[in-house]
Amino acid sequence: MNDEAGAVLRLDAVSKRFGDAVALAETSLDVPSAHTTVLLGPSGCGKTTALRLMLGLVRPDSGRVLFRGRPLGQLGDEELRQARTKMGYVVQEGGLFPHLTALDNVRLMARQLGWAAPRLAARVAELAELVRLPPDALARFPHELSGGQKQRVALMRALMLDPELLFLDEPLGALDPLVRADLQDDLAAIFRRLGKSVVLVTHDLAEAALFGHVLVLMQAGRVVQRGALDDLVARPASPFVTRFIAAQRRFDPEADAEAKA
Amino acid sequence: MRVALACVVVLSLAASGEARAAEAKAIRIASKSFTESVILGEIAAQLERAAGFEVEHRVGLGGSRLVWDALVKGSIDVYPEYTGTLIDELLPSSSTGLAEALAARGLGMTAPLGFNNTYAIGLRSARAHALGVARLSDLRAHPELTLGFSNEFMSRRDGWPALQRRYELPQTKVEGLDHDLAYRAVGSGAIDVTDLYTTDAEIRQYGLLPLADDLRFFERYDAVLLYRLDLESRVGPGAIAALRRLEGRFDEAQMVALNARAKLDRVPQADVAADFLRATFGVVAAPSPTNTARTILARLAEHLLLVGASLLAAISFAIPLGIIAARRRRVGQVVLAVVGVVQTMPTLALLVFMIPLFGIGTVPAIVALFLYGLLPIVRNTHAGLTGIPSALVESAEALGLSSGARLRLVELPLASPLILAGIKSAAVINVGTATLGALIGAGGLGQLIFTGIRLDDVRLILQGAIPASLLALAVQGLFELVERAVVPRGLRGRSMR
Repeated sequence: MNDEAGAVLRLDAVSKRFGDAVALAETSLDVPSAHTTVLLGPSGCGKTTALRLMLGLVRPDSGRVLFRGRPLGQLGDEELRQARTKMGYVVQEGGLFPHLTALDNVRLMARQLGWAAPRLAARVAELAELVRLPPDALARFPHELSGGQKQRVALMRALMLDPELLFLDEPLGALDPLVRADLQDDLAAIFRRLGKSVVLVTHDLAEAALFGHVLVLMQAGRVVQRGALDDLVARPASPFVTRFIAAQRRFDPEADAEAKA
Repeated sequence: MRVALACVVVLSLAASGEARAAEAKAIRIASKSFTESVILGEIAAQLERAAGFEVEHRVGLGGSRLVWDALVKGSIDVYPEYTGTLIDELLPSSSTGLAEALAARGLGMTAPLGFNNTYAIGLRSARAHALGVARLSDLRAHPELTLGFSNEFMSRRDGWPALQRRYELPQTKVEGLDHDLAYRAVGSGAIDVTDLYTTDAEIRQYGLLPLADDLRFFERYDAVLLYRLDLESRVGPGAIAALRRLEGRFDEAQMVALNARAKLDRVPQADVAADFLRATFGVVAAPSPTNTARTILARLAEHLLLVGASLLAAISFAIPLGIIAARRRRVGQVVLAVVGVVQTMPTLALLVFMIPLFGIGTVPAIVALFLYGLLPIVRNTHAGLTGIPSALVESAEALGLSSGARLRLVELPLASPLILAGIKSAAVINVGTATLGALIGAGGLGQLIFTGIRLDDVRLILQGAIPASLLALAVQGLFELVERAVVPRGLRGRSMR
């Protein structure tokens, strides 16, 4: 069912411009099944654009985005919505709908699909336990939740329909360091436990190393190098790779220590 | 919520349909917006009522042109007019006689009622004596005088511009203002000279001297009643004969006395008319009831109908328009520009534009108020939807929600505080603007205010103005309650970002 070599999603010679700016130069990239792929790079390198292309939120100028072997561009509206129920998405600050309680955020789409109440309740309970959300938090509105709780709820919402693919765009970017470390460990554990295909965007090398089976380092709309952290350190594809790694290690000793641990 | 809205619309349509059915059998008499015309209209109305007809008197409907158009169009059946106005203003190019020109439009005219209410130019007697002015020609020697004329006189073919040419008058300080305000301005010395009607009660009240028309500029303004020739075929025989009973029954002195009773002695116009009919014909006619509380309530009900119907229509058009505008940027710019232009049109102009399309009365006023209500709602719906952070829009899309479900479950709830604020400002604006509906016969609280201005009756003005202000406050309060019911708890009292 999945594409050759177990790629659940692949970018096939995809490019995207916004006006005059090249957001993503022609790029081909596989997202392997049941692994965590980390899109890594400085801000503006095109990693978020790549993620939005994968989700079908923007259409490529050229090339194809293949999900389970089928180009997203050829799907009708209904098929595209179908495909999206197989994908979960967590944006930087959670993207929770402020007018709905945490519970209603989590079960919004499942209710649209007509799930029965017992099934909804069981799935929510299962996920709350998985992401370690205190039970009373579900009744609260997003502005009544802490930053870490918001991300846990957003993760529950993304996982509600048990998607094949999970996308996270800087999920920890807006959190203070202690909450962040806590949630990082939890996320890593969850990814291991679920064994899903995950695509995570970050600018933080330590975070990338913690989560990623595969690191995809990007710069100025291009993939510079793809591989494990050891590959990037041992066999940098360009001086940029070395500089990027060195800079992060110098300015972020705490994360560095974690990365080694 | 939607069901409730639909019910209100259906009920109000049914109510207005019923009202129209009742109107179909009634003689619709109108008067122009000054006291003498109202008294004549009321006399005609009571006489018809005494003759057994159902009568509706649209008191002080508007200026000559508006009331004339309403008659020609068939929105009204009868109104008092003056021959000079017909010849110079309303039928200026007709080469045939007056009767033929009227008949060609399906209209008839009674013989003169007996008095000539022509224009005159006057100033305070004391000032006239001091300046040595008694004839219009004498004004030529006093270019320093400030002239203030009624708006109608400023623009009439037989008004100020022609008068100035005929008498070669040198004055340059000339302003247009409301006829009744012009009297007060002369009385207070703010202006020196104004136009008068020769039967106006104020000539006595303010001690004015009408100047002699030594070059015979002004026409005769014999009062007549105009009526539609199809009147009797609609309401039954005898309606025109009843009007004819008034022919030759008045003279100038009597008309000044009637005007003075209404304006100076503050006798209700309906009573002035009833007394006249009793004295002249021995007819005991029922004056229209003048219970203050009931009048205010009736006007308030009319006002609420204007505001409510126009607001419901505006909401049901503007929110979809706002949604389209938010979804398609090009269309959005056009939509916002068009409703913005409507908003910049002066209210009075917009109301008058409605007359050729919808006649006079409630419907054109509702349409005009509807147009005014669009902008705040369209603009706020558009702003509310386009202002939703893109992280939320994309999260909703990525969940797999269809575009209809996104709108219903995410976007409209998020935009609801702004949309509601738009509806609230449309409602508050319309409560105020609806007072102007009285100018085109839509009634409402403005009717009390304008009648009060015309009669220089502060009490009457306040009877309209205070309920209108209270209504605006009530609307404000009501929307705070609605806000509590409609705006999701997670959004209340905080921005969505």
